Amino acid sequence: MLEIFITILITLLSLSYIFYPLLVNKSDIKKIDWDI
Amino acid sequence: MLNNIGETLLFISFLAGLLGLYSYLVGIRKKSNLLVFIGTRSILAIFALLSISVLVLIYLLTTKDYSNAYVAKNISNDLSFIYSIAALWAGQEGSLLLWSWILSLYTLTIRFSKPFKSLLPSSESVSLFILSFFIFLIVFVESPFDTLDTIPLNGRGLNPILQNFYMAIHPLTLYIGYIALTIPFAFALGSIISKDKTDNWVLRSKNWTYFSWIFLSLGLLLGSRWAYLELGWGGYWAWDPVENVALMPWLALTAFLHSSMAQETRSLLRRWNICLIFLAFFLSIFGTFITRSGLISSVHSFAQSSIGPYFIVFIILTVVFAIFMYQKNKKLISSNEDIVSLVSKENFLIFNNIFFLIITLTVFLGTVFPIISEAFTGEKILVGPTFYDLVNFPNVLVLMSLMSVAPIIPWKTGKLYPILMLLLKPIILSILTTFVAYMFFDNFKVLLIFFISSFVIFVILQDIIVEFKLQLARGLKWKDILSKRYRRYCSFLVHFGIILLIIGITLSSVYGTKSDFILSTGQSLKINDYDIKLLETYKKESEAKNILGAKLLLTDSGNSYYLYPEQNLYKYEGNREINKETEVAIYNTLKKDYYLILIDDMEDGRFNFKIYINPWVSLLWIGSLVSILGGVLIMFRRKI
Repeated sequence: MLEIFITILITLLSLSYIFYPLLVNKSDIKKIDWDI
Repeated sequence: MLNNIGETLLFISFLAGLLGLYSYLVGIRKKSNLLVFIGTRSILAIFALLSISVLVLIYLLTTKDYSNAYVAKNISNDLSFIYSIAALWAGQEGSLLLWSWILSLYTLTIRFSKPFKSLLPSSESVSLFILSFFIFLIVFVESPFDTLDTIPLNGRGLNPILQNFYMAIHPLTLYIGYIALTIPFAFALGSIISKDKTDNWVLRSKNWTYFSWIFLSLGLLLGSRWAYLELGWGGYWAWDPVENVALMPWLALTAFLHSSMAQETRSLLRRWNICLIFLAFFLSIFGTFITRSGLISSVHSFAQSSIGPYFIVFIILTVVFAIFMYQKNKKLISSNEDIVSLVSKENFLIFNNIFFLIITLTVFLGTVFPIISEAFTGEKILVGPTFYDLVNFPNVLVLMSLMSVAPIIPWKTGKLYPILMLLLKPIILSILTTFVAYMFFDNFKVLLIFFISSFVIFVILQDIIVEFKLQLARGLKWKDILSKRYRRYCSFLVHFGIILLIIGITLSSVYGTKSDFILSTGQSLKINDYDIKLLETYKKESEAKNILGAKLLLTDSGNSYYLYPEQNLYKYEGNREINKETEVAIYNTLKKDYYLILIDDMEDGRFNFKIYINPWVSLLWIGSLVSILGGVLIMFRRKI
């Protein structure tokens, strides 16, 4: 039971960390100079 | 439970890798800051997940949890705490996990490079692709968290010859250097993908290449030292396939460190530098493949498995993609300037590169020859040290000569006559030095090395003296001159170290002696110009092993040295290939090493020994360290 809980916790934490930028104001995102 | 958590962490990091790759691919195509940001965060997530995985495995190793198959395979009850941690990189699965973790850390640092141009997301995506491949291996092929159905009471243990201080750090050092090559490769390929026409990738890669060079050099040095102390054959380099595959990226990287100067200074050799860094990276992956596939037998056969086919597919995919991208965009990376004179630094850098690559090719052919011979004749024919020594010696001589001339030749157009005049004094002095050396050494090879070495050293000294005289006359202070010529003097330090190293190798290989002898307690013997006496023998027993030892007194030119060679017989067999191990007794002096091995107890009160007298081996270690120090000094003063 504990294993399943930890597995779900790790998965959720990782995914929410990766996709967090989708939730925030896009102007906060680091700008890339696409011009070479 | 910890094993399952470990597996989960690895699997999620693999998913994060795929997700990140997808974000980068679409993000770069659509020039989306958001998607690239998601990709970057996936790298950070991978790093965090892999860090916890590494900690979990270290915990399992140090607590000797034999429910884990990797722990049971590489640890035993008698193994100390430190070696239990070192077992992390002693086997296939653990070292792949460590590899992935280090690469994730390196990949993470790309985002801190400034300015944040399109080159960086492309480079991050290349590095993430390579990282995902390694994570794929530890998730689906060689998991470090596989469990055993029946938990054993004791593990199979760490190979005794790996239980040595140098072994504990040598592979780790090499990994750090090897893996660091991924980042310059990612920058080079990233610049092609992003169609970056500037020399940005070289500037960003330079510190990484120095970093990699330092650690590869250190890894090779520690590996040689380990072989010297532990393998008990009196030498430090055997041209073993795994030694060779570690040397090849070092050679290609050293060539790149020279040729990239032409791109930094004159924006020359732009395509050539990309090809060189590709080569260095592919050689590092090829090295990993050779070490781990077990394709060629080696003294390093500690971490073999069936991951070979996956590596072949990965190498082919990456090579094909890199060549395709290079061909597609090579017009963008052509040099605007040309080499205008034969007597110019850039031209000598090309000569330098050619000879480095000839040595690399020689080592490559020698290493893969067993595979080729097996394909044609059905028999693996190994190439011995004689081949390498014979073929590489002239190349090394040419490289040493270039080492003396190239640093003093100016960029663009150098005139031959003034350069010849500059070389006149060093040539005369080196001829005189060689005559003096002739009074002590009679071997032609040694005298030739002395001549070129002293030539290099006199050119360096002359350059320093002339520069100091000139600048002091202009009113500059010592400190200012050193600061102004910092990089040049550091490179002199690297060259000086290499010269010491080559002298050490030459003298020890030409004048080294080997003798076998049998002694009983109290008996003494005269060998060449030294006496050796067996004072006593002893037997000891520890938890792990039975030890047979001897105390001998060696007297040479009025100096006496006590030597204590031992032989260990490990009690617990496990699955060790070698259960008997010799502990070499070495007495180091600057001039010579006395290297004594206890071969056998002959059961009739007599003991069999072997002694090597290795002259000037100390120069090899000192030279290597001096050279590495030069590299470290260059790296710390670079401004990017």
